[in-house]
Amino acid sequence: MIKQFTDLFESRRAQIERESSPLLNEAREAAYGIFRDTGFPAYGMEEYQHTDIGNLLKTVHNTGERDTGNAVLLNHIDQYKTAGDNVPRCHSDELFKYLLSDKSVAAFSGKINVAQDAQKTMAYQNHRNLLNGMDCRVFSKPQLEIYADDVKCSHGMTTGQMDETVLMYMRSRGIPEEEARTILRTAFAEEIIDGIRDEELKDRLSLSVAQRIRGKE
Amino acid sequence: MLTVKNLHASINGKEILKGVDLEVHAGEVHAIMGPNGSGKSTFASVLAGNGVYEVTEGEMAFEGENLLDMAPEERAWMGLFLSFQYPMEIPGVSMVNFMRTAVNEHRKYKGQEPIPADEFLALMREKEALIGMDKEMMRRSVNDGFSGGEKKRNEIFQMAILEPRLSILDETDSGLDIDALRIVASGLNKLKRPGNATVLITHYQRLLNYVKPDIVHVMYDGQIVRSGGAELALELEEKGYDWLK
Repeated sequence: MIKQFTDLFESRRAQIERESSPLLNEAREAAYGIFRDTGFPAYGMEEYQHTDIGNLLKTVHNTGERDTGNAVLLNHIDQYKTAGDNVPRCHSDELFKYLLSDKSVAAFSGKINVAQDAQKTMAYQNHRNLLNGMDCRVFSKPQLEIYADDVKCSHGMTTGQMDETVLMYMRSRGIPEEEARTILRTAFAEEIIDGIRDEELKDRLSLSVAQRIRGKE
Repeated sequence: MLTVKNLHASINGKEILKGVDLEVHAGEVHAIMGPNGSGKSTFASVLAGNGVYEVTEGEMAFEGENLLDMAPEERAWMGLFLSFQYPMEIPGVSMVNFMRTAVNEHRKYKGQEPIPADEFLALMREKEALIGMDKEMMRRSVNDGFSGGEKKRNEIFQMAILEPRLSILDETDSGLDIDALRIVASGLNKLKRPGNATVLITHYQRLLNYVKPDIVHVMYDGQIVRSGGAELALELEEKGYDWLK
């Protein structure tokens, strides 16, 4: 159990062996600073390998003060990931979703490196944010570095508040505003959980994420 | 059932409704026609409680209760339903969950327990058959990837499930081909009850060929400028709106 006001530093490396298809799906709730560096170097990577990364990050309700004085506590989440493809015909799908509330601050920096001999690479990187408050902020730096000329790659980032017209639609059906917001937050998170292949784990995580979204926001 | 008196409403300081009067009684079908930009959809949104519009003057009462004090969800619980001109897509929220939540919120308002699972399934099946909804659509997210016609049919399906007392249908006929129009119209006719009322907002006469209105109103520049029987709609179809200005 990590206490509030603790910073967590994490570094992950995966060396991908022949004929493997790594899948990294995670959901994290942060009441503390996370500084993470995840890397997938492509040593030993084979053709036709497929990497899927789904990452859900939710900040918890936190507007308290840090230490003493009037400083406002910011939930600061920083993630850095790199993925390299230097073998032809590899495919990577990356989806990062951040669910922010109150005064949370989150940052994302990701880079996909496509080496010169990694022709026919397909690499997609997406970072989407849902802000639930006027005071939360997100910094995003999706990057592509491409040295090959026959590839399909894209990267993108969207940040938004909840769509008021959708909320109005749900309310007009008798769903109270707070319940509608909770349902939409859960739906936002669900896309990451959907990527999990183990059905039992998926159900458990789905339930747990739904409860956390309901209970703490 | 619905009483609207001298209703004025504006958006971003621009006045759209400039004194609307309307009286709807149980059992009646009203049609509100009028050219684009005359305020018909704004009127529907204001009735449903859309907060982007500011009501600056006038009264709105539903079943004797002041609508102006009520949140959109409270209006829904009281039995007011708006079929949207452009129904929203809600990816990640299944039709089943959406409808179950809506039904249970209505029940909570009436002091009832949440609907048992088997009863809910039976209700869904019954209404699917009534409206001619494809079962496959129920497994999808709300309106997600639905065609224009499927979205409109889904609105009527939701109406069938929630059994409102007053239904306001905002251009439910627009964007429908003739087959879809017939299906939607027959759904509306099947849902008609003596204690209920319907307000159809439409540009064209064609929906009114299938759903017969008792009273037709013409809205122009934020006011109802003329009211009459079903024959008024035919007259409008023939002469256009220019003669009313």
